Amino acid sequence: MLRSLRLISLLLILLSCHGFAFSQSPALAYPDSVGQRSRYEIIIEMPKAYLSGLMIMHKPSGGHVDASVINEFGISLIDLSYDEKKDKVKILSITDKMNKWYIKRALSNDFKNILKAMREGAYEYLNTKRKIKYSFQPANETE
Amino acid sequence: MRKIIVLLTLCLTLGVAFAQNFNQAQALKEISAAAASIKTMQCDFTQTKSLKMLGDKMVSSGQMWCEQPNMLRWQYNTPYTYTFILNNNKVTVKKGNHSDVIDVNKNKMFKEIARIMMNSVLGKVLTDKADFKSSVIHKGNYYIVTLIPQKKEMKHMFTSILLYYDTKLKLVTKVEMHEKNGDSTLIELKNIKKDTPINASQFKIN
Repeated sequence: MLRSLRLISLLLILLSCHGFAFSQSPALAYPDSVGQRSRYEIIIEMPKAYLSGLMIMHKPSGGHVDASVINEFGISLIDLSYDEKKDKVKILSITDKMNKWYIKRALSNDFKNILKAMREGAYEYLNTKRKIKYSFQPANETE
Repeated sequence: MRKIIVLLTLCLTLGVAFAQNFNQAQALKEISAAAASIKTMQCDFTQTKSLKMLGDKMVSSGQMWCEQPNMLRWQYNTPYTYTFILNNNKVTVKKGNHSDVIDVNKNKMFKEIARIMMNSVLGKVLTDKADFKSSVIHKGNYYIVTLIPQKKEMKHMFTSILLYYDTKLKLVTKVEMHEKNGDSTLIELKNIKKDTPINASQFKIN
């Protein structure tokens, strides 16, 4: 039941983030040095849904990476901070409809694994329990 | 003497208030009339998302076509491709090989996004008292309309929306959306063409 609620809530919110193709661009790394920024297109594939958006990351200081997930229209979905030393993700703000403890807990856990995977150079993360595949691709820069 | 000063202050305050109300009413009337007269509109747009937490900006651009009363094509070309088509009660969202059709009546968030996009660029939101509280100021060539969402679905997304109505062009040329977390999105419309025929294929749902 809880799993279904999570998926339904996530689906409702992210429905505006449908698919887009990956563009050819030079690879951007996980922000390892202080001040570094990275932008990714994100795709979330669930058993019955396909979602997308953008993830912008910034390393403001050693040991931390901040990230924002927005949809293509520019609407913010999640702001989070990853503590690399403690290996913990803290959700700093989240869109009202997703502001439920169980959704935040699930997202914290998934994003922790996603960021760890990205740090090791991976562009994909599969949540085998819930069969959710997260894929990332560096986004083109326009500025 | 004191009574005279108080009276003068009161008169001046009321005078200013009356003038502002008058101007607001006139401005809203002008914008609504201009919006109602537009049959079709097409333009290029630039969207700048300002992320407060990251101190960063994300710029994207594309093209827009709309036709009264309920047809809209909102297409991002760079840095990502993403197309949103509203055709009455149906929405198609597509990119590359992926395409989804959504019934807006079954998805409140989509319904609100579609409505705000369409009504903002046409300035129609001003007449929707149940949706927004509105106020207007006159600055340079613009009437700047501040809209405060009243409905739950919109409150979830925005704290305020500002429409910049160009008094010379008689069009909304900028839309600024503010969110609870301090982020904002500025949409600037350029190369605007009014009332030129739009090929029906632009609004085809597939």
